[in-house]
Amino acid sequence: MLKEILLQVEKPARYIGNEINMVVKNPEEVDVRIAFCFPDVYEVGMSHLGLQILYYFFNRRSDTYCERCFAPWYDMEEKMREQNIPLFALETGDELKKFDFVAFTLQYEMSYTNILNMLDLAGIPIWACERGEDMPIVIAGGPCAYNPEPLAEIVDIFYIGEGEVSYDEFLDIYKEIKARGGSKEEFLERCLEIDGIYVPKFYDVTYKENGEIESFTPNHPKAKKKIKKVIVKDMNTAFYPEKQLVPLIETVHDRVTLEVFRGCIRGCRFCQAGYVYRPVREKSCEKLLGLADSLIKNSGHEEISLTSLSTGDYREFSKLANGLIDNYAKDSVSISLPSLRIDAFSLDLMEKVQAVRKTGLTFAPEAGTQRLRDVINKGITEEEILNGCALAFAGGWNRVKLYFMVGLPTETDEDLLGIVNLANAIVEKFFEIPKEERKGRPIAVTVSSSCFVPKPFTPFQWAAQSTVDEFMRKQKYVKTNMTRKQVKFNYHEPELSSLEGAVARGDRRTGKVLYRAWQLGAKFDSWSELFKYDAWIQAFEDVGVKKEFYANRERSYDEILPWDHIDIGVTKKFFIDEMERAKAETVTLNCRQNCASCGAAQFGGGVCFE
Amino acid sequence: MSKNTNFKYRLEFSKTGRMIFIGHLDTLQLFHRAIKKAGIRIAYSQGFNPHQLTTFAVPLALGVESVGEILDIQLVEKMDCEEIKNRLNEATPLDIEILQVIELENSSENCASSVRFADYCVSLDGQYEKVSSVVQEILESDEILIERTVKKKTKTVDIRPLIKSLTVDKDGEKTEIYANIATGSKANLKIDVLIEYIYNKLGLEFRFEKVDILRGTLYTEHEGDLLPLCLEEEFM
Repeated sequence: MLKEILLQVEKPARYIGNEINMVVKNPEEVDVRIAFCFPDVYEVGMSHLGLQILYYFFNRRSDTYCERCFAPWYDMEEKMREQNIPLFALETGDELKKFDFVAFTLQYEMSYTNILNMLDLAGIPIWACERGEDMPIVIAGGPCAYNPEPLAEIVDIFYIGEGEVSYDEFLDIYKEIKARGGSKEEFLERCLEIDGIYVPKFYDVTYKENGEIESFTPNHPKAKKKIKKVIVKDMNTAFYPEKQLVPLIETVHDRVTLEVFRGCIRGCRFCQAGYVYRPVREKSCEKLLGLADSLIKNSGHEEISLTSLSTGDYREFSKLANGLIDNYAKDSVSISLPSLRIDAFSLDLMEKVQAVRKTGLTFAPEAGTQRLRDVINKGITEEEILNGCALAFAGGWNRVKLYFMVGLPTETDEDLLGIVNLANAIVEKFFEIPKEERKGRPIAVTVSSSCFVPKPFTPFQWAAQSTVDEFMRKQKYVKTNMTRKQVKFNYHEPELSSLEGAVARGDRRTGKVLYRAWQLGAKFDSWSELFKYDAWIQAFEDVGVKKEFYANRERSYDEILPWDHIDIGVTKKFFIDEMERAKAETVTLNCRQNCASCGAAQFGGGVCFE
Repeated sequence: MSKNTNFKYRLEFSKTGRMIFIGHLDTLQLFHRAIKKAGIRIAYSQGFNPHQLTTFAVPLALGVESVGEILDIQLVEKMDCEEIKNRLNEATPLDIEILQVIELENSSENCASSVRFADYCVSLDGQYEKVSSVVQEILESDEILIERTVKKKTKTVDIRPLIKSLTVDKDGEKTEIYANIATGSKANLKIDVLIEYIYNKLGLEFRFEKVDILRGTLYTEHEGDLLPLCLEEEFM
C-alpha cells in the first residue's frame, strides 16, 4: 500500500529514511522512544544542524531511540488522509502515537501551523489538556521556544537552551518514572526540578482590560518564577557528532557542517540570535580540524561548510581556513564560507577555496544610511562596503548582492533612499575600473529587501512593526527610485512578515489563532504557493484577537511581556539601555572591543572570560 | 589527450526495498558519496568541475527493484575486488548491496555502451491462463505495433524485434512474466511499455504503481550470444 502511494507523490525519498549513517535500533530494546519532528518539508529539515546534533546526542544513549519525522508535503498528506495512514517516523515507519516523546524544533514562527497539522495527522490531540496518559508527551525547543507562549497550550514541555545540557537528566527521570508505572503528571512535576525546562501548565496568566498581561504566576509550589536557559560552557568538551546523516536526495544544504562557535559578539539590535545564544563560545582550531576529518571521512560529502552567526569573527579563522584547504583541496572537497566581511584577506581566501567560480559577493548592510545603521548597531560602514567592492571588482568579481530591511525603528524616507544610493554607488565603483580591464563584464547588483519583524529578546522587542500598508508603500518607494538598469530590486511580500510579527510576540491567546488558521487550511505558510493570508485574517477575526495588538503596537518598558518568565541571561535593563542608545543613534561596541555588561557573563564561560 | 592510466572495475549491485524510491541521479550521487566514504581512491575528470569517473549501464526507473545493476568505476590505484566490494557494502545504505566486483581491461568498453539486453520479472495477481495466451500471441506475431508519443509526436513502433524472450510462470496466486528485452543505446524497450501492452490485451487498466517489477541481469552481446555484463574475462 505504502509503495503504491509513494510512487504517486513527488520525491518519495522524503518518506523512506534509510540515509547513510541512519541509526538502526530495535525499538523493543530501548526504554525511551523520541520522534524528532521538524515542522517543514524533508529537504529543509535535513539541512538543519540542530537536528543532526540532537539525533546523535539522543541516540548515543543505548536506552533511547530517536527517530525523525518531517511535515509531509501536501500531495503526501492528501494520500495519507485518504488511506488513513497516520504520520510515521522514518526509521521504523512506526506511527508517532507509539512514541514516548514527540519533539518539535521551533526554527521559525511561520512553521507553527505545520506542528498542529502534524499532530493531527498523527492522530494526537492538538491541545495538551486533551491528551491523556496513552498519548506521547509533546516537547519543543529551538530559538522560537524563547517565546513559548503561542504554543503554551499545545506543547507539554519546552526546553529553553542548548539540548546537550539537560536532556540526559530529563530522560533519566522519565525512564525511572516509566519503569515503575508513574504518571505523566508526576513526570511533568519532576520536570520542574530540571534546569531549562518550562512546563506551561504550572503557570497562570491574567489579562488587563486593555489586553496587556496583568500577571503571570506559578500555580505549583515547585514551579520557578523564571526559567533560565541552559547552555554549554565549554564547546571543546561538549558532545558533537563525528558523522552526519547523508540524505539520498538533494537537500537545501548538502554538505558537512562544522559548527565553529555559538553566539555572536556583534549585538545587532534587530537580531534575536545575537542575544539568545550569548555568550560567544568557540571551539579550538585543533578540535575543529579533528572534527572536520571525521565528518568528511564518515559522510562522503564533497563540501564542508563553516557555520556560525559570523564566522569571520572566529579568532583562529585564518588558521582554520588554511588548515582545511591544506587538508582537503587535493581530495576535491570544497570549502564553503558563509558571508564574510569582504576585505583583502577574505577575497584571497575565497579565491583559494572556491577555485575559479567567482559567483557573487554578498553584503548585508541592512539599512541604507549610516544613521540608521547606527540605530540598529550594524557595524558596517559605506566606506567598508565600497572598498570591499572595489577590491573584488579588481579581482574579477562583478556580481553583488545586498540585503536590507525596511520598516526598522526610526526609519524615514531618507533612509529608504539610502538603499538606492548605496546600490548606485557600487555601480559607480565598478565603472571606475578602466574600461579595458572590465573586458565587457557587466556589473549586476541585486538588492533584496525584507520586512523588519521585531523579536522578543532584542532591544526592539517593544517597537511597533510597520503595517502591511506601510511596508507596501516603503517597498514601492524604494522600487520607484531604483532606476539604474544595473540594479535589480527584489522585495518580500509583507503579509507573511506581518503575521510573523504577530506570532513572534504573541501570548497564550495567539495559540487559538494558530488553531483556527490551521482549521481554515493554513499550513506551510512560508511556502508562497501554499500561503493563505485570508485564512489567517479570518482566524484573528473568529478568535476575536487583533493582529495589530501584537504586531503594530509599541509597548512600554513596564509592560509585562509574554516571555518575561524566560531568562536568557541578558538582562531586561540591558535591552532598555540598548533601545535608548538606538534612539540616540549611539553604537555599542562588540563583545571583544568592550564588555557592555549585558548579563551573559553569569554563565561563566566564553568571550566574557577570554 | 593523455593515455588513460586508471584502473577500471565493474560493480554489480542490487537495489531493492526502500531504495526503489531513489531515482537514477540520486543513486549516482549516493555512490559518489559511498565511494568517498569507503576511502576508495576514485579518479576524477579533468577540467573546471571535476567529477568522479563512474558510469551506470542504464538508468533504472523509480519504483523498479533490481538485482543486476551495473556501475563502472575508474580508480587511480589498483585494488582488490573483494576489498572494493566489502568497503562499499559498509558505506552504502541498507537495500543497496554490491554483489560482485570484477576488474576490467584498461581498454574495455564501458557498460553504458556495451549493454544490449536486460532480464525482467513482472509479478501480477492471478490471471495466469489469460496472460499465458497473450504471451503466446506475442511470441507468434511477426510484428507488434504500438503508438508512442515522444515530444508531442506520435509514432508507430514495432516492439516485437525488441523482445528476445518472454515466458510466464505461476507462483501461488501470482503470475510472473519473465522477459528479456532490448536495453541500451542501440535499441531499447521500456518494460512498462511491454507490460502495458499485455494489460491492454487483457482488458485491464495498467497502473505502474500497482505492479511489482524486478530487473535482473544486464547483458552484452558477443558473436550473437548474450553474456552477462559482469562476467570475469576468463569466462568470455
